Amino acid sequence: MPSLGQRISAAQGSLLLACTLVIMPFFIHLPIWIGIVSLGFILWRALYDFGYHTLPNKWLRLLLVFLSLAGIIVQYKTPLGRQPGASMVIMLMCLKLLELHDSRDERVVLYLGFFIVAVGFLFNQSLWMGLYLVTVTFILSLSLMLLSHQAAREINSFTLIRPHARRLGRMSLQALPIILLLFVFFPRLSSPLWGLPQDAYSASTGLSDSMSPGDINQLSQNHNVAFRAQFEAAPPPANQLYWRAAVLNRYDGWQWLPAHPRHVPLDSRTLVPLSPVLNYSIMMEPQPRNWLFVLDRAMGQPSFGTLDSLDQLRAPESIKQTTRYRLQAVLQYRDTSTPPDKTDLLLPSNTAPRAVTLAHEWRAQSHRTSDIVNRALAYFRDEKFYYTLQPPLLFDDPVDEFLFETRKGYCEHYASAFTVLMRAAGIPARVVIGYQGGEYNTVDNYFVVRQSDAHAWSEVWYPQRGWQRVDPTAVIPLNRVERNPVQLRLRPTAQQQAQQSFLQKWTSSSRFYLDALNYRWKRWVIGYNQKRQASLYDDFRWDRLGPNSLSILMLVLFSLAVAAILIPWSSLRRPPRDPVNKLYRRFCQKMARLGIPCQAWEGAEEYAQRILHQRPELARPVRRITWLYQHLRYARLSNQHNLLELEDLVNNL
Amino acid sequence: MTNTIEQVLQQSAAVILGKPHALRLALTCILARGHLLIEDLPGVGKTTLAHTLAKVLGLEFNRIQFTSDLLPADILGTSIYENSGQFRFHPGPIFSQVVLADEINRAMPKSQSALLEAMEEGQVTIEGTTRPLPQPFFVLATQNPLDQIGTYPLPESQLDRFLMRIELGYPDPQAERALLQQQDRREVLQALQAVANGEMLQQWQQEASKVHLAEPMLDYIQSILLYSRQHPSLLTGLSPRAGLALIHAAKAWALLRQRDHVIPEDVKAVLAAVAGHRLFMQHNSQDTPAIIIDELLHLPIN
Repeated sequence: MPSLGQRISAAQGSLLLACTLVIMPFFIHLPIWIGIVSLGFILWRALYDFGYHTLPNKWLRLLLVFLSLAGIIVQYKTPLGRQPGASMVIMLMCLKLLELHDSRDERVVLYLGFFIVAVGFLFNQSLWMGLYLVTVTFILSLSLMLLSHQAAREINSFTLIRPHARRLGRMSLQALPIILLLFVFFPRLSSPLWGLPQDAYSASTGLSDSMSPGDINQLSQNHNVAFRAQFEAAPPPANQLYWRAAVLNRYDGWQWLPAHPRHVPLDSRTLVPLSPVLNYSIMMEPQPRNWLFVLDRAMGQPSFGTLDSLDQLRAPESIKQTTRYRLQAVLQYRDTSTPPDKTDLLLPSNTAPRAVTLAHEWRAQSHRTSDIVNRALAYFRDEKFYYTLQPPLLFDDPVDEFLFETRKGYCEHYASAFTVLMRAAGIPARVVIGYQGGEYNTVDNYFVVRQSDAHAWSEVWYPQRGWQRVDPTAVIPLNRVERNPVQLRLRPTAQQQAQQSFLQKWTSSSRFYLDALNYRWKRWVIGYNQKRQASLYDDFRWDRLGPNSLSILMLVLFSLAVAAILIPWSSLRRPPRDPVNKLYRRFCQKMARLGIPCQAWEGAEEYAQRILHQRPELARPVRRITWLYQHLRYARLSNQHNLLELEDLVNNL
Repeated sequence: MTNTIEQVLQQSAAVILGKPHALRLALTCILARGHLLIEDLPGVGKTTLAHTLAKVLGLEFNRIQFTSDLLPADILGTSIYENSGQFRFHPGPIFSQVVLADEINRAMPKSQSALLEAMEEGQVTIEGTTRPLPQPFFVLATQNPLDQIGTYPLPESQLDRFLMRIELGYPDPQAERALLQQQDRREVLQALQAVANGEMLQQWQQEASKVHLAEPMLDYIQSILLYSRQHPSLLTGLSPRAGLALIHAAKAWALLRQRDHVIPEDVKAVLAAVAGHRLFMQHNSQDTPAIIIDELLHLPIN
């Protein structure tokens, strides 16, 4: 059976490969039938190239175009938008393969391919996608080169691929400085192009703006990164990190709804720090809500978004691109500036009657808030409460059923029940949702917080200390925490870490490396926006340069530019160094060190004779080197083996 | 084949004492299908050289002594009315594989040019009939540089027709002593055995033209041509034909050295013989062709 290269030309092969690779990512992002049909068109072209099948005639092609377009419109109801647009351009590119009359048509296909590569970034901007699309771009360019080389259009031309690829690689490397310059200095749009489409984040999940039983544990299997946080100083332990997202203080008996922030002027907020202030920055992943997360509790002014009276940080609009902001936090504090109102005590009537009774009992024994809080926590600790990711379903009155019957729950059950108990005991309390902890990346020193780290806890009003965080879930003893393999993987204790096998350590450290890589990609490449560009110019303190040095700088730049224009490139170019010649020059240098320099006009044989006249003991290597040099340079001998032998002899001389 | 060439050289060297380089150049000239001009004093063995080469190579040999009254027909041949009532062509001495044109500068230009045209074209046209010369065809002309009265030195442009010009010079004392001691050269010549024949020689000529000339060698040869063209002492530089001559000669020299490719040393070895008679000095120049050749030999090899 003839090999691939004997059936099709290098140009044909690379065109087919490039088209296939171009559409591959869209199998994930578009309905599967679009990918399959497009692949079918490519396959049809391949069958034609291999001589198995004819191409469709004009009418059939026209029919295929109409069917494809109709399919897209049926699928999306509209031809406009990101997904229908991408589907259309992909299908049309593949259809174009069925009517390649001349090289112009082939170029049209390839240019469409380049365009679709750019379209790919509208769907996914990860580092891996970037690497893949760079590879595809390389193959597209290679295909373009091969198509313009007549010899590559003949069968048995696969050997041409390697020299072309090498040349293309060289050209790409030469283009690299220009790419970097353009990346850094090219004017940016204030929001990236991929922020435009409206359906970009419909699939991504996160915290919802209300909390009912089962909401958060849906996220427990979702390991998407919510955000990454980096501390300027040594980070606090993970169990002290409560990332605040939203405060929920309205309870309807089933679910908790967001609080209405009151208009408290920010200056009048008196959060008294009781522990050192931590500086940190957060890199948010895109998400459908305008929520930003802060470390509980926030101090000072955030570099992005606005803080409201409930310490909720909100962006002007939903987070469409990776966003970085800086903020301060304090872990221990006194917060009396936003006293509770009646919403913080409100319970719907007939809610959780047994819980209310229990709370009244506690209240009768002590009026002190801390006593009642401790009593409640002790209740969770001492009764047989279990922490589980698969809690039993609750029906009528979730709080009572959980507190007195099932006693198995996830954080939202505990937070909800605890808050209800507090309110029943006359203590203002509210639910806070957000994330807890995070995985510390030791490679780049930041925390990765995933959706599975979603958490809910309570805040209780103490008369002196104000709002304080109470996490009822934290009191459940470890032996009553149902171990979940995922949890185990994410939060190994010190003992567990010591017991980890080498393989486990290796996989976790490589995971850290990969995530660190992705973090840097997001931070420095994707997140390089107008603002950062501007700050780059600002960081370079032009004003520090006096007028004199500034004019000298301009003069230097100007003369460099003039020189670049005036010095013809050819004069800077050296003749290509032939490897044989290079080795022989090295031989000459070695001989010169022995006091027998080679004269420019001397042929190798004359030189060898002169050397042997003075150093007859070198006869063997010198004769062989001369023979090899002459044969490699002047004869038809171009054997790699001989070149290696020459290199060996010269190096060992 | 290489052995036979070696034999040719050895046999000839037994007759032409103390002139290995000249002998090698002469043989190179034959292998490169060129013609040889020997410019030297009488009595240094020019005739013997021609004779020896013809004999050893197994070729026919004719000698034409150029005199002031030599006519073209004396070289080319003529038609003579015979008893049968027909004109019959009597070929001249040029119809031979090796022709020794002795003292070519003594004949008048018309006769000289008859010879040169025959050399150039490999055929002669007499009375409207074109007759091919035998193959291989090799002319060895001699020119006496001393006799100036009543001679017609070859014009410089005509010298170009010869692939090489060599000078024999006196033999070194050792060789000369052997020469003086030994028997008469003519007897030695008589005893000489042919080692090759015309067909073998043609095969070698084929072989020589197939010797590989690599790209760097072309660079080197072009640098030589360029240097000569830019030299202030020279009226004109080396012509493209001179470049071709250099290549052919270098290839033949490489073959004699039993190599299938040309190296810079081959070019240098034949450079003086090939380029020497093609360099025309400015009239007021202090340099001589020998000096220029020396400069050319010291051009850098890339």
